[in-house]
Amino acid sequence: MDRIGKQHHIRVVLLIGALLLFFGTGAQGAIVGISGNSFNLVAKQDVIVTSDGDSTIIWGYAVTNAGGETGRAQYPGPTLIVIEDVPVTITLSNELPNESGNASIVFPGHQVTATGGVDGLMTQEARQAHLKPTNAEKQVTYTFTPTEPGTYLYRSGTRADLQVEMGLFGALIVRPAATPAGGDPAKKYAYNHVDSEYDREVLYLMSETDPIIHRQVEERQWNLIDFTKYFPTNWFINGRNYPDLLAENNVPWLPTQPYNCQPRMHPGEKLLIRFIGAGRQTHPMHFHGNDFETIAADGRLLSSAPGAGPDLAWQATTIKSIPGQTADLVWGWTGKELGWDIYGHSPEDPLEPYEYAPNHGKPFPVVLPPRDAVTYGAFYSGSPFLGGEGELPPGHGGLNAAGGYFYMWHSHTEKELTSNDIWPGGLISFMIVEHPDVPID
Amino acid sequence: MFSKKVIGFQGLFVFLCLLTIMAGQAVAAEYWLQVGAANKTMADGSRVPVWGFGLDPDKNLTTADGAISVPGPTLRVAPDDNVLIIHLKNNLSEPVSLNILGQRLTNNSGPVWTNFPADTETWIGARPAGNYTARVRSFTHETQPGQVGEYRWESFRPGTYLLQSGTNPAKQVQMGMFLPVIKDTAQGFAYADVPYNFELIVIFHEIDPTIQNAIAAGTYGAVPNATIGSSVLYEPKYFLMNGMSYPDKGLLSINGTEPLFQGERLLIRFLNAGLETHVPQLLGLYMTLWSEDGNRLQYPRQEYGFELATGKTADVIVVSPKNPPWHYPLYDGKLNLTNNGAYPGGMFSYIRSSVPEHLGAETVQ
Repeated sequence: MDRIGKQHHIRVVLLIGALLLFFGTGAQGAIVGISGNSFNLVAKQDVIVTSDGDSTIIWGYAVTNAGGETGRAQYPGPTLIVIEDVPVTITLSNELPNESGNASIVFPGHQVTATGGVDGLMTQEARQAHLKPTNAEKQVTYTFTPTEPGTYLYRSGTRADLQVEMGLFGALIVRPAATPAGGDPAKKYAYNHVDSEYDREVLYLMSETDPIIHRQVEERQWNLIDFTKYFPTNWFINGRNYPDLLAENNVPWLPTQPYNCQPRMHPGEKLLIRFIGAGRQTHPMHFHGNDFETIAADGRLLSSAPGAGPDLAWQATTIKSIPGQTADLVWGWTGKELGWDIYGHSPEDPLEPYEYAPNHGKPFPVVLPPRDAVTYGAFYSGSPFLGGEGELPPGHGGLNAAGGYFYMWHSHTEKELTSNDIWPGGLISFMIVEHPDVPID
Repeated sequence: MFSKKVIGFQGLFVFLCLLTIMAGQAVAAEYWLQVGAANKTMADGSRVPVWGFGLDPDKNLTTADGAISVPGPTLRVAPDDNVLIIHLKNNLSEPVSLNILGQRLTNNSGPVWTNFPADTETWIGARPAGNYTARVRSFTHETQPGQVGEYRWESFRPGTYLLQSGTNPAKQVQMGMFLPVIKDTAQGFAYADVPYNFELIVIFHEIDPTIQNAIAAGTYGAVPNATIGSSVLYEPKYFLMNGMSYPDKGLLSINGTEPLFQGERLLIRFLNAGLETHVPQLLGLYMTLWSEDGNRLQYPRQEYGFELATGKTADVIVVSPKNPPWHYPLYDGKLNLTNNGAYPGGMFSYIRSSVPEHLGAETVQ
């Protein structure tokens, strides 16, 4: 009983590996977005679906490709991935429905030059089509040079309470121009310091919607929109709520919600969580399984002095997203001090990478009850060992084919674990720690 | 030596009063305040009843007691003063008291307990023996209607602080009974190693006119004819910085009277006197967060915005990125940009450096 699944886990791993060879997988180790230094965006209306089965009108930034074709609006807008010190140019056109307002983008943390369009409160704006803008007023161009790497966001600067609620926001990632001093060119760094190294990264862009406001927009009841009565009931990570956010990136059934939130990693790796409060509420996100280290806020390392690296990083298990602000968290997991050998090793077996040696060969400390005496969670592989499998009741299983450990990463404002009052939904995702032999990338 | 070009937002008037006091003797900062009722005009023209503080220029608290404002006047304690004394005249019809968050009131003879809900009997200090239904009404000693009370802080610490009513704060603070109290470590130094050239004070708060009208009408709380029992359903309609919201003329540029040249240091003292959390956010620039609640941080933080919870203060330095003219939006990152449902409004303004006359007029970017 003490090494359930050990004899199976290699077989499972091989099976998964074979499946992946056939079907491939989305890139799990890097954030999906559009890279470059020139982007053409269009503000448009479209529809998203929420996991309560509803569909909602949204406004989003759509991408115009090099061939001049504009895709559908995205919720959130495209994740823009740029390089430190390389000037960035972003054009914005306005195809929002009549009376929706002008369109604009602001980039907190960057000194932006805006040209074209018309004057707005926060920046230049692309004028609405039904107001018959001149050619110069139709489109606005934003240019800036990102002088520091890091995690940022962009949002609408026009009627921002409504337009951000409607979905006009996105992530901006600035990658370092070079490997930091003392760094390894083969490795990844979030900032210009070796202590910002990471193996994989995941986006956590938080937003919410109040369906009443979206209905008022759909029915053009502009005079009824009142943000003092704001009461959101749908919550999103990267534009999807649970369980939709576990699906792959760019699945065809979510054409306006391209980004998932399904972090996976191997023991010992460092996961960089790019954490963004894009909406109007705070969300206390709770990352089960281990403490994280907050290494940066608003695109700046938490340093005691310039060049000192993230020496002021702080550890916690819960961090609140702040509207309009960003943070970078580094999370790791090795199974340290878990109390048993997570690989089900015999003492004479070799150590796995990053294995916690004091637990090597230590048996599972609990006598597992018979199969039909307990109810299994959906993500239990049937084995308490990493990469293992075991007997499951008929009809159960398939959600954890590689025998990974699932850690629920969720908001601790528990009502946010719903999608418009349907549980489970909203701000839930899972980190899956996979056996080292399970390919992720 | 840096020179402070402008004293805050609340006006030159307070500064002159302070100078007058300081010219006499630098042993204590002493102020004569009244608390009373007034009406406040919102950006959309509606009027809301408020309770607030006024500064009595003739210091007798019997004539010309000073106009009521929300927020109240800025009080300053000189760097070499350790003592702040406030003489408070209560022109409301219920007891009041004073409380400065983060400073110890020296002559505190509170708290004051009351029999709830009758509110006809009071006890001072400890809970009355054997009485398990009494409630604290005031954190500090009370000043009764029509009376003058004295409040003394005899070891006043440097920093930015929020003075609030200490009596039924959910009600009296909400009505507007708050003001900033400021002490520098030296002229032009917020803290020993935090110099500044120019200062702004930005106080966030919100107004729910339904509740404030009920309070003013005496139909709020545990009273027989109550229309609103408590603030549990607080739903603010106005989101204010320094008592104003966009597009109030006074707020449109919360400074802009002076040029700020490249490299000069703007100190912004943020205070949250409201009931909700706000996120001061600056567009286009970073701020260095140097202190919270009057405590200089061991390590300052670079941020373009941060969470400012209810009752908190924070001091930031913004370094002027270029010579004037320039302006950058300053707003609530939670996007409270409404005046009772109408956009644009709410907590939106600019920090602005204007061109001195001899350099020509400012052009709008």
